[in-house]
Amino acid sequence: MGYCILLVDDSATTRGLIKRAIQLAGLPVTEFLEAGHGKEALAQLQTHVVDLILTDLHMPEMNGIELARAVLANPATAPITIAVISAEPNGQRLLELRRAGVKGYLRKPCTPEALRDLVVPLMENRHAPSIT
Amino acid sequence: MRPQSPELLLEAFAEALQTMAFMFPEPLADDVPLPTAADCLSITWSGGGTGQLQLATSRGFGELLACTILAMDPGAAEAAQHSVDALQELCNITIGTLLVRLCDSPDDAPEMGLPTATVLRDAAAWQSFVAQPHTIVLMAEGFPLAIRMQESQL
Repeated sequence: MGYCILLVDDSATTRGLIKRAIQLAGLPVTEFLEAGHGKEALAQLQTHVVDLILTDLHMPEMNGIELARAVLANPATAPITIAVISAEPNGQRLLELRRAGVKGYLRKPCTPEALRDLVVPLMENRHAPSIT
Repeated sequence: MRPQSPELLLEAFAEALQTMAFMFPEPLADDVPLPTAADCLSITWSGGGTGQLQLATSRGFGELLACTILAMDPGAAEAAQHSVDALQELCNITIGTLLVRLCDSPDDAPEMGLPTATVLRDAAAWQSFVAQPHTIVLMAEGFPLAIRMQESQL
């Protein structure tokens, strides 16, 4: 069975980089969806069944924290696994994300290997409770 | 937060560039043609102080960076549309990396803004940019780059 991954980042270049790294890792992804910010991501979720959201934090319109809260507060989308890929330097904000239910974090710049190491366990443990 | 230094800025920039595109900044060679027009990217941060990181480089470097990241052939038609975006992400990652190194604790790290882009329209604008204090001029893949970070305490 393949996964549907939603990539949320205001940089199209970064979305392309992440997509390519996941493809090179040989992960069973059947569909990649893309969004430039949180509002676009929420619109994608209304019409697609998504297994994993990989989101940046700093974006216009709606940032990654707001997106995660909106997704996890909606019973229809709450089961989706969310991980953050960001240059965010602040540890308090990362703790806030974990408490909100975000399951993984990777700091930019990241290698394709680090991306694979983030995504594989998340997909294998998709329905595990979040760490608080 | 510790005061920033040119060495720390260069380390952060080099790490970002290497990890994103396996490119390596080096000292500017005498025979590198300086840009007649350039993209200038800025990103601010605030909290415990405020500051701004700026990066200027020729459009050709942005296109090469985008091609490398996205595995496109050099000179691909799509490269131009990804050029500024790739440079903005380079700035974003550089400042995030630098702020981690400047903060005594990750909990003290400031808030980053969103990157913005402007154009240095001619050689005089480039010369004016690189003449400002704290500007480091170097090159990568044969293209000139200028980077600086300016900060002020609140």
